[in-house]
Amino acid sequence: MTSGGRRVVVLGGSGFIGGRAVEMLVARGYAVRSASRTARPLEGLATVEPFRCDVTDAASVRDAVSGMELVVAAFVGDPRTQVDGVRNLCAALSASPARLVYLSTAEVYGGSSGALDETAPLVRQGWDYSDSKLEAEKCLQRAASVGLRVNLLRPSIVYGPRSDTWTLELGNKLEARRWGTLGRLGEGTCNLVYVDDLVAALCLALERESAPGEAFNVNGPDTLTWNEFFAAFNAELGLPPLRDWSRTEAMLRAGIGQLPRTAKELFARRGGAPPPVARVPVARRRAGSQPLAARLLDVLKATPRWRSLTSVYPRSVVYLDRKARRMLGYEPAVRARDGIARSAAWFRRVQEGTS
Amino acid sequence: MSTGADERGVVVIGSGPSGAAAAEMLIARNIPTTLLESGSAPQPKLHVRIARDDYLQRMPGSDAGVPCVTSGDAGATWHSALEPGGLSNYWSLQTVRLHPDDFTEGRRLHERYEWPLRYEDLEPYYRRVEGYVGILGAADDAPGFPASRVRSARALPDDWAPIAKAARAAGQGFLHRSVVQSRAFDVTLTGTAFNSYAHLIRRFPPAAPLRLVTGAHVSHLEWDGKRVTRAVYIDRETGVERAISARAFILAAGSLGSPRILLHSTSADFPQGLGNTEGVLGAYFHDHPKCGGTIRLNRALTRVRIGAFLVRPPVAESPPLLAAACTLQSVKFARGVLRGSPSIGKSNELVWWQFGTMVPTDKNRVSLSAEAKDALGLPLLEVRMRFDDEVRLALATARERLLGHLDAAGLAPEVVAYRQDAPGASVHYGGAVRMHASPRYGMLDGQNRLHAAPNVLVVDASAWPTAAEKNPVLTIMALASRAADRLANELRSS
Repeated sequence: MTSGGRRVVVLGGSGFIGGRAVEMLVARGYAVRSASRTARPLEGLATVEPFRCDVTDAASVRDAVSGMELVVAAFVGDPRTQVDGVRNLCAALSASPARLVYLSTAEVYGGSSGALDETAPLVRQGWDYSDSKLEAEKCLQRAASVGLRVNLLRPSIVYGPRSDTWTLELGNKLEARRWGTLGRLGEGTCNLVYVDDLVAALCLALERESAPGEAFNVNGPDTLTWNEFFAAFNAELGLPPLRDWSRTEAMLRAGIGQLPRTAKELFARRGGAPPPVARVPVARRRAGSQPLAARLLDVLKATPRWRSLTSVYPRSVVYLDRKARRMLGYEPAVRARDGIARSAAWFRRVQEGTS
Repeated sequence: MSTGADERGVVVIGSGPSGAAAAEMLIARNIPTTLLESGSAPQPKLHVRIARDDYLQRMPGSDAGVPCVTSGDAGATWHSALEPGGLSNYWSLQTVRLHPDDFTEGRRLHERYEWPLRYEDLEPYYRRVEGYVGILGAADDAPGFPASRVRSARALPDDWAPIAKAARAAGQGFLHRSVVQSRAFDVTLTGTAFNSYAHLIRRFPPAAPLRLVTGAHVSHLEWDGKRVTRAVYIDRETGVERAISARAFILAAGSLGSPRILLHSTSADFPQGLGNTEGVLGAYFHDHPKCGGTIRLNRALTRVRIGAFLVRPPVAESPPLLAAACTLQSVKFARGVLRGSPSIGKSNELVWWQFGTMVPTDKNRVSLSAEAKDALGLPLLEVRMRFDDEVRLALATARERLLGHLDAAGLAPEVVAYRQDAPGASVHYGGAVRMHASPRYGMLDGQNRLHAAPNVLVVDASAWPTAAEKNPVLTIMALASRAADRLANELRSS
């Protein structure tokens, strides 16, 4: 399907998924506006209109979507940003014929297990990220019931070049030997979806309008366990085999690591969240030259998050994307093996560039 | 091959709920009965009940299941219990009669979904089974719910009345859950408070015309061109193949075992399995899709330990053969304490689970594997099961209605945990040797006899043409009891 030069704004166009969406929309012939706080122009994409926008500011959102036929909401942020951004967006689009595709997350199903399709209930899990997405979904459903043309995507574990959590951060941990397989706790399902597949689903959702409020799970073609994912990524990076942390060791490490995190969270709640800082891969480490203190520090830093360890990695869940396949014609194309190889190659490139 | 013979009698294969109920009827009618059971001794288990909360109860859902080749939805596990008492060793004890609509509802879709019997045909046998099982629960009929004959009548506490009122307004019964009556405090080694071996077969009087053969794993039935003459089994202890002859054979080997035996009973007349003239054997396999979780309310209600039952949405408001019913229980006291609400009498958290139905088709089926064999050298079963989207939608509809009733009662429900099970988890499957008035759509006639070999009956859940969204055990026993009664009439008159 051709886009016919339709005007689309990507809110969060400087981010991981938003950035890739901008690139792929341009390739499909859309006239793209990339809205973000930095309004940083993308390299090699001169046709993209950079646009400065703070989603927590109603007027700013109104300006960003004005004159647009299509809106992609791919912004991230703390819970307040997430929910306020969506409220502002609903207000800005309330009398507009523009269509919105909102990037939610499969985490709105909470800690639910089994094979879940879109009929599964939305479950709060006491985690800011997913609970705020859930709140945002509720706002959007209310707006959809009074006419907002919105569709929602619920991707599972999105990875690929520029992914912070599942490529950059994980790559850094593997590189620094601060990660292992997690024994029985890592035997849950890792529902990997490569970023290009997600963006392809996004384009399909833009091109094939569904009923207002319709939500779609978006998942990849392969189901791995978390341990398999960690081991495969580690192998693609050319690193020696991962050590298997036992369940006990993983729990112990997570417990130790949780102490400063809890303290930091408490501090952040009082003083407001610090702005997110872009991280770059650590330089390749020279072996055998570390002082004892540095090695001790490494152990302390090799700490999985308590919540992830107890609720994400052991969770046996598959997000069924039959509905997206049936109604949108979605067909994930990137097998896990290829996606992981591409992610690892990108990680290496970035690393060479910065070391 | 040696032959144990009782030419005048009946051989019953399987000592689970259906086999035991059939044997009970045959013995009562003074028909010599031989009961073949594949298992030798009950698997060791422990069941502890404290103040009606069950602890340490082993259910087959936690097992890896029986070895078979699966396809369809991922994660499917299939269970059978090759031990005296069969799957009643793992029964949740819920007793629900089918509703008269359950026998006719499928007609809306196609004639192949109609039962060859009516509720009224089964009613006397429900009463008989309920008599020896002993039921505690709702004594009065409710919308969509014909009450059992109960030994101890129970009603929901008063503070649950607003939920029942909201449900009634939507055409749904909401009542105290009906279960096999059992002690509030109990420690047993039989797994559940009712086990068809421990509580029925072992309690037959010593003079009863019953012979029990354990460790007898039936491989196939022998057809002599006119009738089935012998059941061939492998003695598990010695590995020797033996045969036993009889006038009639009752298959009660469970939803996987009975089709397996028939599929494996091939002859020149029946190359595709005994009585399988139309290719129906193994097809129309159906399962109870199952899901559940935890609901938090904005205030505590009187603790309901045995549970409450929300009847399915009204037939007129549901697509044909697609519905689900919900069971609710207050969270166990011990869990309540862990979650910081240590009240003995009240709880604001409910555990709920629900079973739904599906439209049986010839896509979901059991068949014999061409290559894979089990430990005894018999072909493994292949089981294909997939829950289509409308099945999941029916589960979600029932859940939303439940949440709606709780909301209408002012309880502001919130789902805090949820789980959608893979096929097989409910252990409520059947249909692979289905009844239908026409041989075109069913293997069995209205009296559970093979159309093509009338001295063979299949009386377990394999015989069900369609499933209902209710625990099937009570109906399985009533249906088996009726079939055995009809068989006894026939044997007496000839």
